[in-house]
Amino acid sequence: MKRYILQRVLAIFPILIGISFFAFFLINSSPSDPAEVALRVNETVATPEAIATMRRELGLDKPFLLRYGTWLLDSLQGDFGNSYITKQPVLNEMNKAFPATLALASLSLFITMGVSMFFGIWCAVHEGSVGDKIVRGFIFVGTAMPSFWAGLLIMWLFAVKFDLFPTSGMDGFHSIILPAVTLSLTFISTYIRLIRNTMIQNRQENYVLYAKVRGLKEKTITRHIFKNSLQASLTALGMSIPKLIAGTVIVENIFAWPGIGRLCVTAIFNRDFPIIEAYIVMMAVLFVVCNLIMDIVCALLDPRIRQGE
Amino acid sequence: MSLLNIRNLTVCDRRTDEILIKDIHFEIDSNTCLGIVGESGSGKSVTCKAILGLANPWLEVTGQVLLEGNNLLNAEQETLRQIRGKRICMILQDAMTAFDPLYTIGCQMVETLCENGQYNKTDAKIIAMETLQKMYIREPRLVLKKYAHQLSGGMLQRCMIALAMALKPDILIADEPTTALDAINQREVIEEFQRLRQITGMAMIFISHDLGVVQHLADKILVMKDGEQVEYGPIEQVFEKPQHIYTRYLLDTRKALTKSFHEAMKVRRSNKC
Repeated sequence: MKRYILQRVLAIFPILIGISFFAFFLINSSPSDPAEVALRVNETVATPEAIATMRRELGLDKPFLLRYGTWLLDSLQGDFGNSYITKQPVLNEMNKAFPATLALASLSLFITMGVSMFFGIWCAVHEGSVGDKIVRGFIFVGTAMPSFWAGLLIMWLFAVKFDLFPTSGMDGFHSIILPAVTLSLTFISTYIRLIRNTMIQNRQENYVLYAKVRGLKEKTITRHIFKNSLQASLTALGMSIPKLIAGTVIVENIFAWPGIGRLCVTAIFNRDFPIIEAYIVMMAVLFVVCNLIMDIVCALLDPRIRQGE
Repeated sequence: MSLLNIRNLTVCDRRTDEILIKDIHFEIDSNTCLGIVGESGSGKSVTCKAILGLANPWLEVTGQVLLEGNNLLNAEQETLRQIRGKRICMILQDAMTAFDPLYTIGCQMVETLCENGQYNKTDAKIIAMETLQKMYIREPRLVLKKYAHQLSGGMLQRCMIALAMALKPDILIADEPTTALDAINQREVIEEFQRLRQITGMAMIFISHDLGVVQHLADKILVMKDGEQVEYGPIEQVFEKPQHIYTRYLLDTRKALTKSFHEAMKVRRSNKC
């Protein structure tokens, strides 16, 4: 088990280097010139001389591989460079925005897990009942509705019509609820369906028949089925946590939530390469690490995987 | 009045209106063993699940399943749950998949004993250990700590038998308990069933497609074909004077098989000389 974890941790580094190179390459192949955009944002006239000075200043005149190499070495030491626009260190900008996103994503995760576990189990136990059908209807709508539209509807209903929550900004606990609910909507429908369906599938298994034969209580049998169904959801959850943070891009923009999603979108509009690059690397780290953690949790839950390694 | 009395048991698939089992009759007293024989798909397992109220929801079960005069087919789910395990227990065909893979065998035995009997956890552990010992399992303490995938099919089958023994039901249904096992394990498991009967005196329904196995254990025999009962009677009578052509065919095939086996052994012996 220890060797397995160590192997997986070591495998992270080549993956990250690969991703960062690819991202660096793609951003640099974009047609617009960041030096020009940087000048425009600072309301300077973009004369050829000014652009050339700016390019030198930002280090854009050096060859691509050299730039990548310097960037890689610096970022390994925790220095992701300075923003082209604000001239602040990227790390500072990220640090400022990250807590807001983390709060939003954590609350969404909490809502997602609670709601989908409750309704997933309930629907599996009461398969085919009226309640199950209603929940499935909601799942259908929730999956089909894009989050920007759902977000606007929710905002209109709860903030404008009933005036229960603020429409945007970050101002106390009140203002986090609408974006968090919007963000969790798609995940909730995915997970209710996943939990419900794996549990119903599991119910056909031989061990459930034997559990019934042994005269176990319905509650105990449901517990057995749930634990066996958990693995599929956990693996999916490993992928969903980074997706939650990535998903904040849209929700943060709708609700004007000052997190990294908004930071990234602004950076994309401004061709602020260092921030985009840092954002991509951060997302990659999140994906890889969350996946690894979920694999380890699955192994801890399932004795068959635990010994297989 | 016999312990378990099955009358006109009919199972019908609601989705296709196909009749899976038609008019099964049999009865069973304590300390006797009924063998149910038939080929795969003849409805043996469905019969047993129907008795326990565990037939799939799309199956319609009609007739009467009388346990000491009470019809189980009309019983509440909770009543049925209390009957399962405590009064009628079943041993499944495929031991490898019968236990929950995520819990140890010990954990599952203890939870069964706790929920069925008035045992607390400590007592249940001791009882699980004792019954495993009675099944001649050498290191019961270790076996209890194992997960299903760490044990062989034969060992798991024995754990299931041990659990049935600890539950002390009035009736034990064994659904092809030897099919998944190799010949050596098969013989041992059958001996264990014989021992189980001697120790507890419980009534037993033993399902098999192997006439030889049933011959060792059963007092009465029920032969099924395509969901219908073609022969039912005391074992000597069925073996000596089979009434139905299908029973005769089964007996002849068995004879032919053992004959060719004996001949093969003879050839091998003469080759060796």
